[in-house]
Amino acid sequence: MAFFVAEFDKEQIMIAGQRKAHQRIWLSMGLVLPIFLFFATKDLDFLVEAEDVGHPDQFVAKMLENRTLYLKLNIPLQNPSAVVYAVDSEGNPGKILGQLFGVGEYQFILPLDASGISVVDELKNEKIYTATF
Amino acid sequence: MGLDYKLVLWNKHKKTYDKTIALGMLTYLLVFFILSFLTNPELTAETVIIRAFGSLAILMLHIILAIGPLSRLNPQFLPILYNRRHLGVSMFLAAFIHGGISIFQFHALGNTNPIYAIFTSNMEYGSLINFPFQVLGFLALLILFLMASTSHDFFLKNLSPRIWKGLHMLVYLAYALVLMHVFLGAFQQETSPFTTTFLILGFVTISGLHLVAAFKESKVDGLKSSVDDSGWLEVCNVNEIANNRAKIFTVGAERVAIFKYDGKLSAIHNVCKHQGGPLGEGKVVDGCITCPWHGYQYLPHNGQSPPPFTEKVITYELRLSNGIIYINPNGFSEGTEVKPLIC
Repeated sequence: MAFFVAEFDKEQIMIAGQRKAHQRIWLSMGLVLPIFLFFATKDLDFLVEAEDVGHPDQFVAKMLENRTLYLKLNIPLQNPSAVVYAVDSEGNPGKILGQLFGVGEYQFILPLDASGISVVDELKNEKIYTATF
Repeated sequence: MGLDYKLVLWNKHKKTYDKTIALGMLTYLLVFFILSFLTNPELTAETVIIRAFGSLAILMLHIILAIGPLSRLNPQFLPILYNRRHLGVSMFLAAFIHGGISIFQFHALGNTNPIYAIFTSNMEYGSLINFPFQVLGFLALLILFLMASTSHDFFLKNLSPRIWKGLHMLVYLAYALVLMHVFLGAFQQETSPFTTTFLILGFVTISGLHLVAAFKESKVDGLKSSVDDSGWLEVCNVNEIANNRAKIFTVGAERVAIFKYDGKLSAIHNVCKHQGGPLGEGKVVDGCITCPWHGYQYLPHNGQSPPPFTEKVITYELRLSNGIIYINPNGFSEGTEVKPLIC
């Protein structure tokens, strides 16, 4: 019966190492993730109805100089399509200004006769957002 | 035990587990669809499908992550380990449907490559609340794909158990990514106290179970025993080991399983060659030590799997003195025959 030499050492390192790795991974996750979860949830408003959450803050629209419209989309849209229209004083859609592709900041030049914008989901034929100036 | 990577123990229990998984998934989806259409009739079918499969995948991931530590803490959970890989692949399928439909819904309708769009449609990487959470979900899905596609014994055999196990420990990273994906995505858009509480409780439970199991293991590793003049370690009284069962004993950094069977004692390395299962928590079935995880078998006196199988584990020499078992801490090479100790 030959005594075991090299492979046994290798095996010892592997298995004992795995046990230690598991312990370290969960200790790290147990410390780091709660901090992250705290910051991710501290500003959530659980008292607001789901449908209302986010919508007031979803868009930020303001007029800059030279009839430049600044539009910021803060929260991703659930609509597959978001086309930005210029609207007249009666709210009728006019010229297409562009499309929204995701969260971010956009700038559009408003026509002289436009008094606002409307973001429309063309696929669902649904008005997502309107703003007048 | 596997030969040519075919499962031998594809028994009725495994089939029952698989049917249970499929039935459980279908029931969850059905209940989710009905509740969604009753409570939120304005939701589109795509949205409901995305939410149903996403939440199903998260629920299954929690169950999968709980099985390991639960089995370490209570052997009654060991049978569930038999089918953990099937549960993992099923969970990946649910996550894949969630991710696939989401990518199609939100990124495939433009003229930008959808995968490229995931990373570039929202560039607020410096913000916590507006972070591009879809990237986190996509990375988690990649890890789950890697794990599901290498779950077969073919990869375990060819990658080596060490690399394979290391690869599959990436599930913890995937879990962290999934948590961040949900907290920075769904919860920022639609805040629900129920789902938020569920995930926080889920995280506390899973991390708590893993830590309790890990500290229990390290306590076992830290047990020291007395050494006699010849360097042999004292294990226990022979009566402390039940028939056809084992006592696990720590030698150096590793564990040895000392089995009592047919009035004999034999000692082998505690770690199964298949997936590192604890052989000492198994029992002797038909004269073979049977791993409690996946049923791999070894002969007690030489640590070899019965022919035609080729797995081998390290064996150890034992000595009995006044009813006390002693073990030689220097193991023999894998598969070395050691005459069983008559007790």
